[in-house]
Amino acid sequence: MQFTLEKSALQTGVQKIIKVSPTRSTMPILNHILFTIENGRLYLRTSDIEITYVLEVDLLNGEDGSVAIPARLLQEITNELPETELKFSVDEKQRISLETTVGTYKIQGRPGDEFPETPELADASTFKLPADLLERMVDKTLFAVGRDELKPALMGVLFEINKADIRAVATDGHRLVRFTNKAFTNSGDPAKVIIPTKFLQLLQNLLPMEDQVEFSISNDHVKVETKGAKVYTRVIDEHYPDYTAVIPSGNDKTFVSNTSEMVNTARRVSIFSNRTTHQLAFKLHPGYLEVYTEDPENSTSAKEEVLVEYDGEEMTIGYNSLYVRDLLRNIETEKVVFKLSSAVGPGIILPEKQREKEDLLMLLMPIRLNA
Amino acid sequence: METPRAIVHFDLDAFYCSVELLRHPELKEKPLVVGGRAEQRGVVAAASYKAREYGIHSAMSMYRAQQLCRELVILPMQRNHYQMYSRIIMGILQSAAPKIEPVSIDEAYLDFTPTVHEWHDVLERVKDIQLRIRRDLGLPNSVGIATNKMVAKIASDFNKPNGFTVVEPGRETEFLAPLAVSKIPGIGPKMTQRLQTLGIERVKDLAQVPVEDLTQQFGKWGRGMAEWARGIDNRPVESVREAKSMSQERTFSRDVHDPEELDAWLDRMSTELGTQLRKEGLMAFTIQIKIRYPDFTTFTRQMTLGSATAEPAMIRHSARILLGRIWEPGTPVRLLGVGCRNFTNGVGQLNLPGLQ
Repeated sequence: MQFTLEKSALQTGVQKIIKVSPTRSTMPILNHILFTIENGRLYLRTSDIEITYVLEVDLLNGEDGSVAIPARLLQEITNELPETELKFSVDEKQRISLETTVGTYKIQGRPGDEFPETPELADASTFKLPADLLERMVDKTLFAVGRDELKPALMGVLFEINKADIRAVATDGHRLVRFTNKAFTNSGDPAKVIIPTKFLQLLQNLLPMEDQVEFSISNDHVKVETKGAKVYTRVIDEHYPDYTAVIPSGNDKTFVSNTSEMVNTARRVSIFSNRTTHQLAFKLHPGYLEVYTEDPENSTSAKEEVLVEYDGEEMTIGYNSLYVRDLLRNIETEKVVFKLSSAVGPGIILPEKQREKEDLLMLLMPIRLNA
Repeated sequence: METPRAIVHFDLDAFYCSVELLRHPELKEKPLVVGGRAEQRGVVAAASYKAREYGIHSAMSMYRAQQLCRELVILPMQRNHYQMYSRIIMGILQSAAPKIEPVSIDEAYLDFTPTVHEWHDVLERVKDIQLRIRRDLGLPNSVGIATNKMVAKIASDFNKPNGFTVVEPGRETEFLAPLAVSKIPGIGPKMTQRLQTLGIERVKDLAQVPVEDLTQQFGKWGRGMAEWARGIDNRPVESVREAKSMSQERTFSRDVHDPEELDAWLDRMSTELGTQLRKEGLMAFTIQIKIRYPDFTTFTRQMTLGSATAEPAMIRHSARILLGRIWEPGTPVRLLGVGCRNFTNGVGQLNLPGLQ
């Protein structure tokens, strides 16, 4: 098998797909990139079993066949090479010779058929999705996914594809984000799927390049296809908890504040909070909010006041400052709305005004303060 | 009318034995007990349902148990193992219910009241938890669902193993009526006997006795019993354990005056305390130290933190600050202790209720 391609084409391709190949694996084949030439077109493939990434790369010429080439070696040499044509020759024992204008390199490859197959998506439902919408759904929710392996269902984002809207939900049990787009319509069947975090992180790198992506969901896999690239992932086959039951309806202590002022205050005050608990206290007064923290361990404390629109009774509530900052970062409007119930109940955080055809809702559980 | 509370008593069936069966599935059909060896005057700590068919029950001497059943399989206690499972289960319960009060290694009360719109909503939720623990962890468990702790507890015991007993709001007295009075937690064998001499055998008999008569006979217990018999129990499910503390202390074999050595002891005790807290699933708001000088004068100092912790580093930091406040460097020390109290169970960070 022989083939030739531009160094820059290969380098860009390798950079993209190497993100999938595991750094340590019990299956040595997974530390390779599979090169397949079919009908004169070159496809690179990486896999960590959960995720498979297939990318088409421009080929100058080559004959059909396949070989698996060690991924890191390939990455390192393509990064170091000057702009050149790369000529690969592979013998029947998968010994690879890479000829360039600056030199010749020998690599031991592996037979292409050792590489795991791309998943078959049986009975998949497929629909088109604007790439910027998918990107936005991921951006708005991914930060809130869980990392606790005892709660596998929460280690991904729930996608709900309905007839007239599409929704993404993420929660780690302490906070929750629900993002809905109502401009979306789907003529196919409604579907629900939990997509693993790693796959969505990968999408973030992949997405902005196309207007439309094709999204396919089968029982056990999801595939996202853009021009020249297909990414597959196994889905999280768990029952996602009923998040609708968690969203409170009776939160009547509402305050509105300037988003960037809140962000700045939270950032400054949290510098003085305890490194382990990241605890901030919000003391709500009519017209203003006191944000304060105390860390007896390091004898530090901080207090700031922010003007807010609020005319309810005084209340004090504790939050993890990291969570507060994450959630505020997700607010794009000038003002942010907090709807609270009590010092131990979930608070709702909303943008002052939703974007057209969009609904963003976030929940945050407090930290129990010492009475 | 006030909305009824949704209280659940969760109880693992023959817990130690169930855990052992996970480790030794081949013993499933065998009568099995966990406990100390007969030669060492051991007793039965837990008996499987198979073993119970022979009349074996916990707290029985192992010698007697072996007499009752020749082919009895006896496994030694593996406390760490049971604790590990218990922690996982309590974690599941904690994330499923807004309030949980662990009672022992294999038992807890849950309060779903704030998260159910209608009382009956609790049933599905509990079914899910029960199934999850039975199917995913392989541990049979029984639940009782009622409007208060006492009825829930009796209900969980009603149909073991794998019981799922619901006592609907308003049905409490009806449920309790036919039961023997001894089923009521708090009415022990002695009291049962005394009641028997008065002709009171069933809960319904007890419910018919006027409160005044019971109070006259039994003092404040009488009032309690009158309420229990009528299915009344207002005790809240309490997730915060009160009036408890934990501590580590060392009396040194020779007096210590080197700051570094004292610091090393603080470090070690803080780590032990942190481990102990985590084992119990607790966090403490208050850290204290105790110091005793060679003349036996003893001082304690304490500090209350902004948020509860189980973090050894945090405990150590606080303890160091406290030590700095009462110890003059170089003064010999006979005893040093680090302790904590003012507990909250689980973490300071609250979980979204019912998200599981």
